Amino acid sequence: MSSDRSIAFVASGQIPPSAPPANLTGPIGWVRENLFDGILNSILTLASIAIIVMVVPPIIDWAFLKGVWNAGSLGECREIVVATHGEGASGACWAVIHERIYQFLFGFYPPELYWRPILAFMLLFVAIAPVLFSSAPRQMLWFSLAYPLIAFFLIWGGSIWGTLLFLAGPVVGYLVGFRAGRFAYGDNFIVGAAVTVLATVLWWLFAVTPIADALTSTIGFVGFEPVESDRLGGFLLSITIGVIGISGSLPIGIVLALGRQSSMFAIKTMCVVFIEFIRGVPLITLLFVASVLLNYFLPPGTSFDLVLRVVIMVTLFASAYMAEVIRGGLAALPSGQYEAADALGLNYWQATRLIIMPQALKVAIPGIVSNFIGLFKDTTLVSVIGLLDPVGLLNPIRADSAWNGILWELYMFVALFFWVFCFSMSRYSMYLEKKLKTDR
Amino acid sequence: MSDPLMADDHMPEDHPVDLSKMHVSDEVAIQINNMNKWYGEFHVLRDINLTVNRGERIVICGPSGSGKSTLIRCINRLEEHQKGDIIVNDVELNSDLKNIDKIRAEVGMVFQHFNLFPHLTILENCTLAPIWVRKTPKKEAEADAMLLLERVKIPEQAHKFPGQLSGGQQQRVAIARSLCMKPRIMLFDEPTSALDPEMIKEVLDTMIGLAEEGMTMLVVTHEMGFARQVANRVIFMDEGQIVEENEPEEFFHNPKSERTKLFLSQILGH
Amino acid sequence: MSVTTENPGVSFRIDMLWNDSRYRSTFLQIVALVLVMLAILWLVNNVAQNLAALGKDFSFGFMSWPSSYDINQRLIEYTSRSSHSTAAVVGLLNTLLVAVFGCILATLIGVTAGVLRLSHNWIVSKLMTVYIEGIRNIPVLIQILLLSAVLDEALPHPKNAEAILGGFLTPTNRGFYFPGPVFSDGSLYVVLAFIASVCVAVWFGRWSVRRQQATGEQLPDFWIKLGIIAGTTVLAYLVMGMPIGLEYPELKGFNFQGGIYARTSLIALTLALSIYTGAFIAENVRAGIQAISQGQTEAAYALGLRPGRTMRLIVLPQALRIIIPPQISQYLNLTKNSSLALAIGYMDAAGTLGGITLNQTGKEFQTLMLLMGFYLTISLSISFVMNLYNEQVKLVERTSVTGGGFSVLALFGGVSGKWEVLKKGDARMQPNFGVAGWLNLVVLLYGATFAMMLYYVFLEPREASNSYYLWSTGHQVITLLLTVFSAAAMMTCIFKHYRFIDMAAIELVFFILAVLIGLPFGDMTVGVPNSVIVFGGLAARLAIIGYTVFGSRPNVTFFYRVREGSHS
Repeated sequence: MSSDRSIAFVASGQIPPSAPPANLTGPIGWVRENLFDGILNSILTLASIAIIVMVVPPIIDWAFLKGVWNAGSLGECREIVVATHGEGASGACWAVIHERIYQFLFGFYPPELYWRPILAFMLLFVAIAPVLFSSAPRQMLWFSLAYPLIAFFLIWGGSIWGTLLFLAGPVVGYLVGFRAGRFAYGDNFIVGAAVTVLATVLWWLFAVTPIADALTSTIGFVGFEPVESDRLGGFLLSITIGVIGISGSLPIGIVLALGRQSSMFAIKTMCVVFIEFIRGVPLITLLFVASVLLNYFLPPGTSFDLVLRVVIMVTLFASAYMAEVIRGGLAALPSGQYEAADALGLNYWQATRLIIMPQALKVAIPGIVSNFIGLFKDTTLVSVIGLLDPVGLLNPIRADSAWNGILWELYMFVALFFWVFCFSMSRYSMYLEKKLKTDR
Repeated sequence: MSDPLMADDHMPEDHPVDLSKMHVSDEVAIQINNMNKWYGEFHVLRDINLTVNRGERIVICGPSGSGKSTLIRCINRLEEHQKGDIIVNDVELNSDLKNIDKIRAEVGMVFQHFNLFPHLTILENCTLAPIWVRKTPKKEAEADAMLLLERVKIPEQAHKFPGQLSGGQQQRVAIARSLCMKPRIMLFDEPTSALDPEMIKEVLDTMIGLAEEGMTMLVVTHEMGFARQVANRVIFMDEGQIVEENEPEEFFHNPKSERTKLFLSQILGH
Repeated sequence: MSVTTENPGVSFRIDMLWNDSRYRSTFLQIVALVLVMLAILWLVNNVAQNLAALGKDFSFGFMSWPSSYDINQRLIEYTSRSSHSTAAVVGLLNTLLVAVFGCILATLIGVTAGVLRLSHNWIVSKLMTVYIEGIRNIPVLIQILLLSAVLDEALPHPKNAEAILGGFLTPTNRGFYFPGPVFSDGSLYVVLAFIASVCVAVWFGRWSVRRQQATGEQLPDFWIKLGIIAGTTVLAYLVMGMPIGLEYPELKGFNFQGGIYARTSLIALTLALSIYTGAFIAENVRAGIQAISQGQTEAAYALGLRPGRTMRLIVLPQALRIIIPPQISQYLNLTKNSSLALAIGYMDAAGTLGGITLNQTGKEFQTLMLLMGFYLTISLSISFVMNLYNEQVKLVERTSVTGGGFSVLALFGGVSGKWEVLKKGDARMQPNFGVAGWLNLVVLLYGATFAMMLYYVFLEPREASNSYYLWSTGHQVITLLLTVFSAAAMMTCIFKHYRFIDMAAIELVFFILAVLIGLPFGDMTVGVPNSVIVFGGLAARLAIIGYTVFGSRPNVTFFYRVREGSHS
């Protein structure tokens, strides 16, 4: 190039966009770039296609094309398959699911009362809505708080007096602690809270039963027919344990997380010890404790039934993990939030209640959902201590002479149920995380 | 100078820049012919023709999305072009790995977000490539690195980690790191866009020092003061093509294309 | 409301407990502690009453009774006449067996799946997604049960079994049989040759690094080291006349004899846990690699580094920081999930201690306590390791080096007073690996005395009499507690980067306290094990402190030492 060329240049017009060269885009280009981009990748692609071809069509054939949905026993299934498809054919015997579906869903719950757990399940979504969708009206949160008791009452039944009086406990406590007690110690929040708790506990321990009995004898039995815990089974049991576990673990987890963050050494140590202990042992040992040891810790003569003990232990277990998740949420808050709250003159409890916790919980929700998924999968462990959740039902069904020897259909059904549940929850959690990131 | 065109001038006032004596040689450093690039169906670079001579300082400006970063990233093969050719230091840039290695060893790049390696000390950041790519003995690499760190005026930070330095210091380290490979061409991709105003000056100072030593530089930037006083060519890109290029004075005071005028009115004199 | 703290004439009022920030936190903590103590007291009281009503006691004597049950899969000698404690040890070893192999296999599966998931190849990436998302969302118990049932029903009876993989593996529905190694004369030399070749390879690696630093030239290290080890070992093997052979299992009657035997339950458990945990590890690996910003690889490429080097020097070190902590939690989860062996009859710790021993002896409290203690120890150790790792590899931020504090030894009037909490990244600090040797010795000594203490308390055989209560030997409990406290003190010192000399001093104080409190109870120094614990431990600790004080290493913390004379 000569050195005295002019450097000035002006484009004569606008160059319109044109299409890229053919072999670099479009389906051919995509295949080249993604699937056969080099020797290693080509081998991997061919191997993967081989695997898919070897595995998928036979399964579809066995499960759907040759599956039998209506039969009375395994033997009958096999006869139908041979009759329809010839000797040596094999097909899935879904008839076992068809026959036992209600057992899987409700366990041994009285069939005429199925509407109660179904109603409880539908109300679950109503109760969850304000937690997961911030556009729902805030008043619904009161329903969410009351939901556990409503669900308990629906599923286990019993006299309505007991439940109502139980619900009334905190209300009575609040009235005594904050309204009546004002005359004694003024507006002091801590003393008020302490008195509230004390009054509630006293009410629960000493007032509920006598008043309930009195009401029953005067007005009569109002309520639902009680259902014994050992009739619960199947997915009803799993969902009940899971939901109670998670919802109970939330308040306990919040307290533990706050305690763990506290600057008071004794409280911090106690919380740390509790959390690390629970997280360090497998759930199965805690379930053993629930089934075998928990009765020792109660005053001689009292005992809870097994399901209740398991629920208590699962709640404690979940609260340790919940505490860790919430601690993560608290840590994600910029320290400026605490400072702003202090500068406004809020005390610790006000700041925590109004500013810190709402933000921390919002950040922690994906972690909470992930905790729930884990807990829900862990509910299958109750089958090891003898409760009849879906996994626990597998052996009794296989032991039935009509279905002796059946294997894959049962396991696949139970696995599929859990998979659908957990996968949808995890997708939802990912959606939440994305929304949180862009929300800010 | 109170030139209304240079309202946000970060150029150092105590360091008058006079590069008029800087000689631009005839040797061609970078030659780009009819280069086109697509992202999928999107035609991001259209018919780029560019010749860069040894010692030239070129500033590329334009609205966001115009393809200016993509252009310089094509020069060291961080992006691939689909059509046309790019020849750097007489080596053709294609998919031949040996060519790419040769070119990358002679072309240095400074990124908008510094991209220092956070798990290595400053000194290790600088000596990594000479040791592993040029196979320099460690002591020699460290001596060279310390010289360059002195040149960018932060030799005392040599044993710290990037996380302990401010943004301006990190960018200067990034410049030193590229210089440790003794490149003949330096590419800058918006080097000051991520910096706080008071740190821009120290980085521009360093870049001016490089220019005064005759380094061939392509700089994508919005710092028009720098363009005016250091560049010998300013290129304006819009929608993937080079719309206008000229010497700085002519470019800023006599833009010829409508699009250039629009861009300049948006970026200057607000 | 401006009450200054120096208000002369204001004496203490009761509501200052509440309103004055100086007293409030202490008051609250005391109240909380008292409440918790009361609750614990109530619980313990209930337990005592319930136990008494059932005629049960709280001794550990039953651990030495004969167990009367067989365990098929075991790593040590065991018969049905061995004690329950031996059965427990068999169970523990079985748990560790599953945990170790499970973790290794899970890592292999997980890392492969995670890396493939990131591949540009669409089919491969989608297949991996199917694996990961499919397995992650199915409860692990179902997977274990399914795999176990499949192995039980699909594999042939030993009579009809065929060897696969070139005769290396014989799967049957009783278990998997592998050939076992048989060591004959001369095999010792082969092993020695192997060890020697490893040492040579390590030395070669160091020499090669030094050479690269001096001259800049690089050698293909990996292949050379592999060649050294493989070549020497194979050569020694051939020269000694192939002394290490394989003993193949042979069908005798209804079963195989010889070789190594792994029950189907072990295989099923390990495989199912590996596949399940592998899916989670894959997600970790993928998140870790994706978290490294694109700019890092671009900067490395721009400097001329090839992709392989970029991965090794830039991406992996940063990615590992992100990957390893959740990875270690996954290992922990795998170990905890191994307790599901109960469901398929594999005799691990939960199956022996928590299963048959619990049912047979009826000592629910003791067995469950031991079982939970075992898992707790494992998980706390793993967390400890993870915290160590995190401290080591923390990326350095702009923190200031804080000073101040005191030296415990200043109390003894000797060495200089101030120590500084030195943060990693302080320019003056250097990693301390050269000193690691004798520090390891210390930890080893300490661990040995601690282990002996545990043995003394729990497992030493006693007469099988019901009247031997744990806390009649009160001094054992106190000694145990103080040993635990001193261990905790040591760990705190390590975490907080105390100087080693201060850590040793603090720990010595606890040890002396433990010994002093135990002495009045009489038999602390009776017998060889007890004397070793007391006198040996004391001597070792004094030696270490002496070495540190009078030797040249006062500024050593557990992992770093302060470089003399560097500018900051």
